[in-house]
Amino acid sequence: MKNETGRPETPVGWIPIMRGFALHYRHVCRMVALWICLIQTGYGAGPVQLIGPPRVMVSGNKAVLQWTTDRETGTSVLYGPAVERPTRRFKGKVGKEHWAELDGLEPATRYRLVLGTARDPLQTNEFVTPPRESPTATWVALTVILAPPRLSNSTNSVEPPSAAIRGKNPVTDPEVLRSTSLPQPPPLKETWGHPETVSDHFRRHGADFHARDPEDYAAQAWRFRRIAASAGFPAKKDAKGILRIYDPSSDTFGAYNPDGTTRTFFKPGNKTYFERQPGKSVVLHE
Amino acid sequence: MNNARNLHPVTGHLCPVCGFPDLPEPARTAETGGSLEICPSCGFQPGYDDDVRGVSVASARTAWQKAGRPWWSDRPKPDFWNPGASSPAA
Repeated sequence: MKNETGRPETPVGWIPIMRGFALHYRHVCRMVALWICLIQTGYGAGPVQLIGPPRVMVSGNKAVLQWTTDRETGTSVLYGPAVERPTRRFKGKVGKEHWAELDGLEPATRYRLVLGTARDPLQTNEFVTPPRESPTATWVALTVILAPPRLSNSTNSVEPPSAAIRGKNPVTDPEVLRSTSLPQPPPLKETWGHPETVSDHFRRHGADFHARDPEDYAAQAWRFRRIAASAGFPAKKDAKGILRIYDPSSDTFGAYNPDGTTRTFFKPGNKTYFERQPGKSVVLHE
Repeated sequence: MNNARNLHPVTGHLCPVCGFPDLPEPARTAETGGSLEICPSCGFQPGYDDDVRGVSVASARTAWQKAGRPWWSDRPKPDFWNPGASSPAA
């Protein structure tokens, strides 16, 4: 059968109805996929923020950069010698913990880098490579050149690592906190707020730091406080003057009384724990 | 004699979980949050257990009571402390 235009009439039946459903189903699937994409990329959740200061470890002609963001993002570093425009780029995995390996560095050279995601730069920094290749890796100072407005309030008040930390490893793993190159702590009775309780804290949290005994545990807590200022760890002081310090890279938390003695020391296992702590952000002094 | 022990004039602060009356500081205040001091009687650490571990005071108390109200710390239990006779704070 033909209509007025001479074309055969479309048969009315189940085939066009099914076609309509299929088109509608495809459209819905596309919308769902788009929403999943937007949620994963953090669209609409505000700018990405750094948690704590970034760090760089230099070994030979290679530097390893580490930083933490408040949500999962891509990893991108644009870098090059500070005297020229940075042109080399590193791209890494998506996540909250970001690692970037910068290869082919020249000794005794100042490098400038812009770290962040491929789309959003988070911070511009500089570091200097050691004068010659060293068999052991060392954490070197990372100077913040441009602290952007993307930094959260808690990190705006944090000093960048000072020159005092050069040549030392500010990562607060147990081996570092036991290092004999760091200052030796006074006797435990002088470093722990309530010395009679240190065995309880050691029993509860000593395993976090592979502490051998309460003395070792208390010594690590004391050293963590000593290096916190140089390393630029975020800190808060509450109404009673209790100081809370957190190293996001090693998930180490220490609380200290106004007289400088330790209150407790542990790894909360939760990056947001420090954010929930009472008090106002403070800049630590050595 | 037991009554005399229970009437020991403790000067510390009360543990909200087990009622131990000799904590060096209040377990929690509005200004400073959890004290982070560990109760030697039940092992509860305000600001850690009720935050990181997500254990409420009530559930910690129930667990401690079901375990037979044991003394948690390696430190010696003070003579005045008789948890069986003490009713933890509501």
